Amino acid sequence: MSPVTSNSVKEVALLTKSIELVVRNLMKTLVGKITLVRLQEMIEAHFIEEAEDYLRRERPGRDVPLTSLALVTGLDTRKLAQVRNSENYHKPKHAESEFVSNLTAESSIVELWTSDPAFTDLDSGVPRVLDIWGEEGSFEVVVRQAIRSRGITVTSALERLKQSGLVKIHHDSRVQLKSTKLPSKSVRKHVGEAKLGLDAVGHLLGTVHRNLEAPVTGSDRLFQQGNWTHRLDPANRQRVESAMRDLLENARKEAVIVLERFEEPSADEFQLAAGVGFYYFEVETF
Amino acid sequence: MEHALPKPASDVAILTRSLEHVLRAVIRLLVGKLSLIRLEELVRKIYVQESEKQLKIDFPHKRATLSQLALLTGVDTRTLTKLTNSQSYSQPAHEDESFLHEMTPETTIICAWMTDPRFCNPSDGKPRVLSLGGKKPSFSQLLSCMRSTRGITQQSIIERLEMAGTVEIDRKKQRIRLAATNYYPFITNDEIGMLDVGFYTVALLLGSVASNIRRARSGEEKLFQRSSFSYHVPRKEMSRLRRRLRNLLKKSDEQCRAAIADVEDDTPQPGQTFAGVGLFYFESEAAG
Repeated sequence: MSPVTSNSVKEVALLTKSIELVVRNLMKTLVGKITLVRLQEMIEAHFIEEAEDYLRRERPGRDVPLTSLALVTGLDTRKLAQVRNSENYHKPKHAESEFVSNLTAESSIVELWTSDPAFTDLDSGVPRVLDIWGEEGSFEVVVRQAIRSRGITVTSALERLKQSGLVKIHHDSRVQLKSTKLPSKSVRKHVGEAKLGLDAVGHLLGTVHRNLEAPVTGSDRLFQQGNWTHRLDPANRQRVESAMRDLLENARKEAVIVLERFEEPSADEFQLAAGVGFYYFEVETF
Repeated sequence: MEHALPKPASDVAILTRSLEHVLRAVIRLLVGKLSLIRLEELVRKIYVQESEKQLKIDFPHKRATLSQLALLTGVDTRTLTKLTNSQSYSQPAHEDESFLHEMTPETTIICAWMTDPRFCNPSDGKPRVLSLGGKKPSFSQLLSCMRSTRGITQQSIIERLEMAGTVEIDRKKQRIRLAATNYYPFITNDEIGMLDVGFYTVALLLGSVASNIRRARSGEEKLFQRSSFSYHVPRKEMSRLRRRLRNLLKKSDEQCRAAIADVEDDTPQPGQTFAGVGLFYFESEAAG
């Protein structure tokens, strides 16, 4: 273990500020694509798995007792035992169809509407046009069954689905499911953008992690550099953005040539993934 | 016309996979520095704040209802009301003393030991030597400062603090002394600094990603954000590739620095923009 030098609440506050900024920008990317409830399920599962690995690294060869895990996570041991004993522990969430089908309220409603014979003709696969209100086979019933959270009104669910372009409301107070493509049209437009962005963030986090471990593992630090100014006249903003775009694009093209030179034509087990990332950022007020 | 619709597609699973990758990487950096309970608290608050902003964009001409907020977040309205009415809702965590004092169970204990007059000397602020058992002030009394202690044994905490060199124990006299007053028992100041810089640069990249999603919606030109990589680099060639790309990135970094310096105002003025670039190299075992 590395020697510990004194740190105080001041350093911790600075670190917390950066963590908050990461969380905020991540949440900006995720709102509308996954509910907070689902996100927290993911965080909880990954945190417990990572905490277990962390404790195992601290004391190699020893079992990780629940009480140590409780100490690192802050969760009580009963909850931890429940998570660790669940059949989905250590399984990726993206492979769990139930999880993926219910990432948002819209997806839960659409999933139920298209799979329950009360709301869909299963032979033809055609979702029924539903009365908005009613005690049986109505949109109201779909919402009540699909979303168990207290305080959600049928009107607000209908409004959200309409806003997402998923339903058409008929003049006779009936509602038709127009599309099952999820995420909704408005979100789908930028799913690719979000995925590419998140992948780049994952790569950068990998570099940060490796560099943090470098003094312990003895491995080389990987290149990771940022340059910025707080004193940019907004009148020069476009000029800078354009200059940076040209510089970064040229660097990227050069990097592609280098990577191609090293790339093997076919895959084998002795290969690694490697690459470079470039980004420009600007913030009005910070 | 009514017609059969395809089952919900799998764009969602692909996005979920990328998100899992990011969450795991963030969490790997946070374990030991922030408990899951605190992380969830932070995520919950910020998610709800960002959802409120999103609803203002989605429904610009009317006030978003609590029910809409519940739909977007998946959280019931009673919990939302409690959260949004809480005192800490609009307070940043890094300015919230109770959040900072309770980042992990260990920090809660150390902080109480150094600030609570039951466990430190009010005149010089020095932490008292505590008994391990019954006689007050005791370590078990100190443990009661933690919000939840179910399943956490005194032994497990002592073991952990002793391993970090934070406490010294006189087993004969059954006494325990706070030997180091590090806020985080397990990491150095250098590591905190590196983490801070790391998280900050990640936050900037995430800011560009979020901005590009907004720009894709509005049709504005996107900010530059690109990666180039290969999944098929032979292991034996890695150090050569790393060197080549490091030189290339270094050269680009210097060019960017010069270009930024060229337009930077000499003095700080109100209304100036914060702008810059980030360049990094990455490698991993697993493809993707």
